Amino acid sequence: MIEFNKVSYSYDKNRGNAVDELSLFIEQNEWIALIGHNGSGKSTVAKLMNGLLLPTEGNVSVSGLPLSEDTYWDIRKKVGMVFQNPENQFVGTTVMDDVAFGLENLGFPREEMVKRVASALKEVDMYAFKDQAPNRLSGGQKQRVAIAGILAIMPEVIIFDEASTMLDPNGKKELLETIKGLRKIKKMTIVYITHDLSEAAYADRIIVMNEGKQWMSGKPREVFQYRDELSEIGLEIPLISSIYSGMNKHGVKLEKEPLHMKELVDQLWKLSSKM
Amino acid sequence: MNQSFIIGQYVPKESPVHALDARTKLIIVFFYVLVTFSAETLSSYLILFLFAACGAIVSRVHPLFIVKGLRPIWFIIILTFILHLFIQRQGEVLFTVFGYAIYDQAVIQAAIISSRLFLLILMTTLLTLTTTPISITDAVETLLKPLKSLKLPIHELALMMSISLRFIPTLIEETDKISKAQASRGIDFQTGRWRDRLKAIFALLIPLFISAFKRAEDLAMAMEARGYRGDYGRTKFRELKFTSLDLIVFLLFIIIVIGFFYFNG
Repeated sequence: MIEFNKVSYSYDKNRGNAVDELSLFIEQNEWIALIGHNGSGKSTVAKLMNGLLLPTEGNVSVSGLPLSEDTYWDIRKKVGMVFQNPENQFVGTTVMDDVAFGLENLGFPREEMVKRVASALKEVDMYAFKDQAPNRLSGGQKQRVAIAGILAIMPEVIIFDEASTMLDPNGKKELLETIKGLRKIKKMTIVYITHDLSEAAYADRIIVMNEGKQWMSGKPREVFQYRDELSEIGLEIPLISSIYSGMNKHGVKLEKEPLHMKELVDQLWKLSSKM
Repeated sequence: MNQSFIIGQYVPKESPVHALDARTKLIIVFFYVLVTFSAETLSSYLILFLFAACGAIVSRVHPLFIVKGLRPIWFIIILTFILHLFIQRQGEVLFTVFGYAIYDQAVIQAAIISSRLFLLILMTTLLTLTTTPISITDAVETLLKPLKSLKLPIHELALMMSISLRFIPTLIEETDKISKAQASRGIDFQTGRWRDRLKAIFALLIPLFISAFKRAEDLAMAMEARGYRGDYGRTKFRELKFTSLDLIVFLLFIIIVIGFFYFNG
């Protein structure tokens, strides 16, 4: 779906590459979590995926289409992006207007827009708010509207560029639940950028970035085993994983490493059960 | 922050005036203003006043809102009236105030000029009370469309207007937050000499500007990511619709204008 072939990008020639000879491959319908501390190059990778930046060296291609100055408008139709600040990506004066913004840009006829805006808003469960002004919405709701604006265009990939960073715990949960819900009803590739490992646990695969390079890639369970190494590059291990390793150290063996609170609780109450 | 904050003076109501297409209202207000400037006789003023009054009544907006809309302008209307009263020196002397002669022509002129001002403001207030800012923006964009062939950035202007409208509440909230943050650091906005207060305002304005620029940058990035490339190949979601109501109001207005010129001599 998305392929990076020895991609480098530098904002400033004197300061070295933000992304350094990065090669990676993302499958269709895969949910990828891209993690790394601040300045590891993860946001740059996101911007290279939809042509907001063009690589200084190497090639990027999205579903077979190579990214270049001639193709980035087409690539942006395939790759939608939700940004960090919910307030600063809300263009329209009402929820409906904002969802329609992308469709307007691509020149859809009005009847088609009306249909798509309604169905996209229903998919993120924000249809009841369609006439609201943005200042009446919470951060989580604004991010859901941003997702609807992208769904309306029907892209193949959605990138979440630290989309949960500015949300409160409820908003974070709301965002992840919305993504999980969407994955149940439609096929789409998701690139979820975060520095929160507990959110990354929901992904099919985690790619860890460090200093512009891919540092590790694997299933969440595999990646979380490298606790000490991860905290060395500035990533904090999720609480669940810390509990697991602490219990392990003290000789309490669980069946397998839990990823979420529910998995941990389920294993704990079965632990001493003889049935 | 007041949650019921509304931009502009728009008063939502279900009335024929609200239901009119924003373009109709804009065009009528434009020609009304033109016609008002050529009014000379009492009966022509009466016709114009009747039209505006009917509009105000049909709009079902509470008269208090209209009075409130006129408030900043009362002073100017009264001032013009008084100035004209004293400056005009034609016709018969009507009476004298503190030894200063007031002429009858002056009274008539003063009345004419101030009622002109009054009618203009009444009509435009009625427009903003019954039309959302965003539909006014849309109407301006469609009405000015012909100017695009002269390479004037009409679409960009309209987009700037609508984005400003969208960000007004955001920036007000931000101002509120910054002024509280600065006040908690000991900055005094309320008291002191005017020079100190001016300095205090800078402590509010600078962070506000920095954050507004940051927002603009983020917004530009988000718009580009969603495929915004100016006016190129763009369609519109919000639509303005002429109905038979617009036609009726246009006809009515034309009759009023004809009547006006008939009585205007």
